[in-house]
Amino acid sequence: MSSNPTMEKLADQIIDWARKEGASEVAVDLAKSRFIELERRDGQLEKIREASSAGLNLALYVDGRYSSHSTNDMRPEALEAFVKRAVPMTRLLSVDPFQGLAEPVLYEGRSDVDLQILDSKHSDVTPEARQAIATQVEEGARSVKADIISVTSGYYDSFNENLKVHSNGFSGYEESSDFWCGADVSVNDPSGKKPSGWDWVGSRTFDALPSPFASGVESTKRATSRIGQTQLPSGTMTVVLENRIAGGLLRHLLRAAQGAALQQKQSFLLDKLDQKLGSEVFTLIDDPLKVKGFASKHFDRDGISAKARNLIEAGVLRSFLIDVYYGRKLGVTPTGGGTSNLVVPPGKRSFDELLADIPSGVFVTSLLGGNSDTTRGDFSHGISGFAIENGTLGAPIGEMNIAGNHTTFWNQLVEVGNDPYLYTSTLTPTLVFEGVSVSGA
Amino acid sequence: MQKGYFDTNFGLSDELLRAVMGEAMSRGGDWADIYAQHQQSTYVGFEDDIVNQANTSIDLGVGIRVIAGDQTGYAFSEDLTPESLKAAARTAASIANSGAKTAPVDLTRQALKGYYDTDYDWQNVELEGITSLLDQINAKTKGADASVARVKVWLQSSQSRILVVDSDGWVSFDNQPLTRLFLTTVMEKNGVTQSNAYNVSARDGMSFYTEARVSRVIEEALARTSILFEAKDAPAGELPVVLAAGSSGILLHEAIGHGMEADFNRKGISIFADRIGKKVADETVTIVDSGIDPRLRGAINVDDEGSLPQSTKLVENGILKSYLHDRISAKHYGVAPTGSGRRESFRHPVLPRMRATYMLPGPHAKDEIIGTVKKGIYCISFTNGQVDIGGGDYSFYVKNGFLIEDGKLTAPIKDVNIIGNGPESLARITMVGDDFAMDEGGWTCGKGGQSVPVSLGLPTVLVSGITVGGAA
Repeated sequence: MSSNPTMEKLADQIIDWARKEGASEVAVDLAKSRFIELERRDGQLEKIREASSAGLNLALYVDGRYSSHSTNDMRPEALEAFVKRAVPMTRLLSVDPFQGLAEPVLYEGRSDVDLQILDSKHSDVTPEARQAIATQVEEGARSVKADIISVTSGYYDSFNENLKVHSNGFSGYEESSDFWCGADVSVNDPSGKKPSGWDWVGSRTFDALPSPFASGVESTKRATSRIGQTQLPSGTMTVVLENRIAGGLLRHLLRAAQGAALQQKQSFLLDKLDQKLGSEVFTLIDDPLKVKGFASKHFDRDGISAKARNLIEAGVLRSFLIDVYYGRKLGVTPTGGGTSNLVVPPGKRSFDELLADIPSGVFVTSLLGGNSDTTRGDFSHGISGFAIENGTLGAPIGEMNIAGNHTTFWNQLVEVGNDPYLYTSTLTPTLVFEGVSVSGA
Repeated sequence: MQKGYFDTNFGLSDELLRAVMGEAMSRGGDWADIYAQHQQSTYVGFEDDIVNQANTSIDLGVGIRVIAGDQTGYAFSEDLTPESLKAAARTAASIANSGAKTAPVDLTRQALKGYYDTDYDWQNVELEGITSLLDQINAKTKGADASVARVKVWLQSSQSRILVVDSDGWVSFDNQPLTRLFLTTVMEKNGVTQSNAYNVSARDGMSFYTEARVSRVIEEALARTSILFEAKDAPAGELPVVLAAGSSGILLHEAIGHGMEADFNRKGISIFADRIGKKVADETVTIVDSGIDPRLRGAINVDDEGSLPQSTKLVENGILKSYLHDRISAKHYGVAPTGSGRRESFRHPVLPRMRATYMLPGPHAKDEIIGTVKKGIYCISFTNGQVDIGGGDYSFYVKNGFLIEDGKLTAPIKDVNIIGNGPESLARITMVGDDFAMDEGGWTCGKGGQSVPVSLGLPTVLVSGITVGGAA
């Protein structure tokens, strides 16, 4: 694994300053990043944005008390003064017996697998190459026959370095890069509405960036597909969630699995461990070591060594998301508080095969607002998409909602597709639910 | 003359600012601005009867923007040395290529009105003052009802100093305080758990937290939680919706506010593009977006590109009047900026944004409005909303409400999303109440990856039909 000696020296210096002021334990996170963003609109470069950033996050444990601090004023004299002010401030807080760095045993067993999240040639990308990609996206968008109002295409890349050092023996460094391009396209609808569509694709290395032209084509196709939107009557029906949006509902489900929600009794998943939460086709894996993943990492924010875990196994809840602090409060072993790459293992059939078997229902391609109650599990979301009629897609529909409760909804999942969406850290395929409450006209 | 805040603390002298501006304009941009920001924030969280989270943060940097025609070059630097600032200015300048030379200008300080206390400094507030307030709120909330199982309360405060210098030579300095108190309560009754929250926010100091306001926060959080035990499933389908005075202003924010931000209209992609001067609502409907209502979370003394704020009428007596402009869109439309150019921080270029969006009161009494509805819902509190700018569909999530049956409020309802179409819903506002209330909650608006604090307000309003997302 690589390292950055300048950052490591600074981290040691910060720990030293804090210890001299009386901190018993210290956690230091140093981050550096650089990004470039281009935006083209209607045939010309409209915006460029570029900068480098650096920052410190500092956690202090002083006489049984805890506080955290962040700054981006990295002048050495400013940093020293910052640390020297932070330590005495911590002494004014309450003693909290549950706060403290992770037990060093949790740091053990760190994988040394190459996650392939860094393009070693990231700094070789030229301004001309970036411009060319944004231009190709726009050309793709304009290659589709449509009454286009506006095409905004873009390109983004970044390089990030993170160093984490804990005073009880943890040290970890990650560096990563990412590259993105895509477009937003608006088209005219005879009704006076101006429907839009977007598509963005990304990769960890520049050479792996998928076709910019194809992304532009997809953006315009998605916009034109919205022309003539109508509303269906309310009813209970089959709901198919497109792969790119299914992750949104999963994220709401997982909010209730957080240690803080459980300990604060704000979770409909309380006492549900090892119980059936969904149908047998529902499996969910958190995989931090996924090669080239957008959320891949060797350790989590507590320093716990990352490993893949089954959160839901054939419908049974197998793991909560418990960090070190809430693990101590709940009296359980921490499992890791955050998530990384969330993977719903793909099923056997393609989207078209799934669709062919559905006599009627809705195919949801976008969620508009909505929320869920983490305490009880009730949810309600605005949707738009397409009617499903006799195994094919019908008219675009919108101004509708889906509603349900997470404790029953995932039992209504009857099949998952073989088509995970790739440009996100929530890799869900198409999901098919039966008997969902849909409101419309 | 006395040295300014950024000169004293970070060496941003007039001489350096002029030199950086010279670099920014060196390739012939039409206009440029330098935006310096120093923000100091504190968060104190109280859980399980103790302070369990305390965080301080410092964010410092300078953003440099160069405009050439419709093009924007943007760069920022967190390192305020002359070399770094000049390098950032050259990066931003690379968008321009006309070669036109601009003579350096003298810097002139712009006088600002004070819509909040610019001498206040949260950095001078003792931490013990905050922890003892939270301790008190925790104890009172727990003591108020035996069914309270958990209490979490946090207080956030920030002090943001900003300096905007533009290539015309105008210099504006503002010192913006902001605070928010958030109380979450969890109650247990007969083995069932419910939770809810209430929060308040303002551009104000510790004196915002009066005994009366703190008591109201506790009462509202408890009342909004305990009523959930009796709540029934909301209905599904298109129904008349009565929006309670106050935070229902989220309707305006989503249904019309975003669509009136002029960047979307300049590009022709808003559903409101080309509708200025047209009738969009009943003549009792007047909607404003204001930056000048004292101490509101959405108030500003100057916008983030140096324009003075105003109260802008979006809709007056039912007629669409004005978009919300930043400098770029104002130039495009040949009008004066409305003081709506805002940014999340020095890292971001300016966009036209809302400030405090609200509707002026109308002729009807609240009970009269509810009395006209045979079957519908009454919405009281909200968590979030969203809009599709081009299609015009918007939605917001109702946390607390009631069924209306035969003109009366009956069973409480909870957790239901409502979705409508902006122009259609505006046209369906059939009654406007005389009971205007500004919401005191801490709303944050997201757009283009940037978050800014905003405010909302509304009198009681009847919308004759919107799609309610309950159980079908």
